[in-house]
Amino acid sequence: MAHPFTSPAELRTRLGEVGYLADDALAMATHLALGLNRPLLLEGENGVGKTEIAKALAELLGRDLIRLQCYEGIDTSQALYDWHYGRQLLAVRGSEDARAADVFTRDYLLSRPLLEALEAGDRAVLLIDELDRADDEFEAFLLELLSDFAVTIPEVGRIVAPSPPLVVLTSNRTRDLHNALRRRCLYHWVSHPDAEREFEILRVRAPEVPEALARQVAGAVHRIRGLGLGNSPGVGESIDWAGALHMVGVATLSREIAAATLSALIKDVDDQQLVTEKIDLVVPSSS
Amino acid sequence: MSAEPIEVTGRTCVEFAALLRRRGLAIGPEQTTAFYAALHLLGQVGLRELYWAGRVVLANQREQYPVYTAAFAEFFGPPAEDDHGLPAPPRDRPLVAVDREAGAPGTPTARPGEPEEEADEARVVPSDVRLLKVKSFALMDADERRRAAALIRDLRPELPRRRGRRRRPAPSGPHLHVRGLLRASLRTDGEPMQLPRRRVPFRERPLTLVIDVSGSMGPYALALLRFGHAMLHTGHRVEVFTVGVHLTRITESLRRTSVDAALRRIGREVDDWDGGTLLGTAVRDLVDRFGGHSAVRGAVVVMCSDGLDRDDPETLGSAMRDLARRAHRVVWLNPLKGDPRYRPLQRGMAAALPHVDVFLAGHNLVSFEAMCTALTRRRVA
Repeated sequence: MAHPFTSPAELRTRLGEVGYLADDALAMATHLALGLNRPLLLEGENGVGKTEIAKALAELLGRDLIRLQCYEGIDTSQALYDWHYGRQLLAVRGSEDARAADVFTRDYLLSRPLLEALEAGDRAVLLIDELDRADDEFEAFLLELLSDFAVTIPEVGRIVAPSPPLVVLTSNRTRDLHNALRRRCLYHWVSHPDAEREFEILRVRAPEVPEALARQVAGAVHRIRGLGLGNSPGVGESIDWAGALHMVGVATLSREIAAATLSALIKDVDDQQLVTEKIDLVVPSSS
Repeated sequence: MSAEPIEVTGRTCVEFAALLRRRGLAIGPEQTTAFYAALHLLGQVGLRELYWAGRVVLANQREQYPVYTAAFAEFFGPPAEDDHGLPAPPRDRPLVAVDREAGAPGTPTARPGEPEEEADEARVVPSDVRLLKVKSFALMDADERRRAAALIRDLRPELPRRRGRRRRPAPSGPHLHVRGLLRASLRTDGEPMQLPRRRVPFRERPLTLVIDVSGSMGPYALALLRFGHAMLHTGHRVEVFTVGVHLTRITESLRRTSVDAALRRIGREVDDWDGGTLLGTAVRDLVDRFGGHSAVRGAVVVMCSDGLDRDDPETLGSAMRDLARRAHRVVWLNPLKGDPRYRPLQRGMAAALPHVDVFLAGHNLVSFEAMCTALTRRRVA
């Protein structure tokens, strides 16, 4: 249970120092993941900073970030390990007695991200990103890894991590993950930040944007999310928008300039129309 | 930090987990253990820390948050509300409807699970079949309904397929199966004698049934639920929703092997059976909650409704437009269409129709067969 933070509050402060502003629940989730050596499953809409938390933790703990981006059709040979077939064939043909040649040993194994993270142990943060994009068979590969921090390779045997790595899984919920996987993890639903926290995030991530403008942007984005768009803008997009507004050289947000720069914030034509229609609600007249 | 620390023992953890289980969260012993370990790790905790720690360990889906919060407040007392407060419950209703026991008032008409449908085996004599096939589900008596159920079970349409991603060993195929090649060549002194192949198989698209359970739709909804059950149990990827006043996902209940047990359970779970219809709102809810989910994106969606809607037709129109954009194909079954004089003139139906690929009746077995053909056929234009 050795990890350097004594309380969720401390972890939260330290995460703030590396540029990630977590809320109470997320700080608790990461604190427990570190203390209990449990994988952390993060779900939430696009652009709420699920991937960023893994990067921030890797930086904070001084560990390597090993990232496995999932996609449809990913399998063990891309995620876990593969045999070096060329070398194996050469070894078999080069040896005196092909039957005796044992080419299924660790030497002929190519590590892929999961195996790499296992062997690195607590020197690594393993990020399994967008797990919902992989097909459900793939989840089964992960079960042994997540509960025991080990993988079994039929020809070699069981490879156990010297010390458990920190594992972060993310999902956008395009499909339901199996309950067997959920139960091995700690779970946290990451929601969009409220206006106040988004303002703090803007101050940290886009320090060049003046404070007054950042506050207006945070407020406007918060109200836009309340409109019920098809795709609500994420934190990354509001940072982009603040940057765009700063670039065109405005000091305060007006309706005209907000509507003109909307392309940095909202990436769907129906949503853009909706926001343009309701721009009076988004940017109150007092500002 | 909350005011005073709380004493939490192992027994408390177990009892709290037991309460959550009674409320419908499937909590395994390892989660209870982890909860206790978490508290041990945190040392002295206040009510708020206890709340967050418990939620992280014990509630493993967002839908479970409201249930968890309620149970927590009941067991430990409400966590102190300070500056940040607790998150407002998510806008969608909790999926786990529990503690609503069998005592729900039985309603007349064809609510699922009535005694008539216990016999699964029904012998069908070919000469009756033709008559049965054209008879509307609403006019069938108990015996006919049972025989129709057997016919529905045998429909077995093929669903459209899309290219998969994962390569599998196959007798022939465009890619070399190097792993198999190496294995085979070990037996022949490293000399490859045969070249095993791999290919990318095709995968079936998921089928999603959206079934209107308002007043007049009972018999048709039951027939389609039976169809969904049969498809689910022949290994297809099926999702089933009911719409009435709101959207309910019933796929999990339908997984029971016995169709009657499944229907009885659904009868208890769906609380807007025979109620009114807010079709537009319910379809909008489907698109919002499952728009990116495989239940909608790229799926074959079958809607079954008479199109009588108390919502603004504009709501249904725009929701159907979004649904059609995400789904592979949208089939609409409207039992009223079984009457040749029917014209889709209600405003809701008229608004939905431009976004529907295939419009069928679905009031008898013949039109169910037509639906199956429509499911199988390639997309036109």
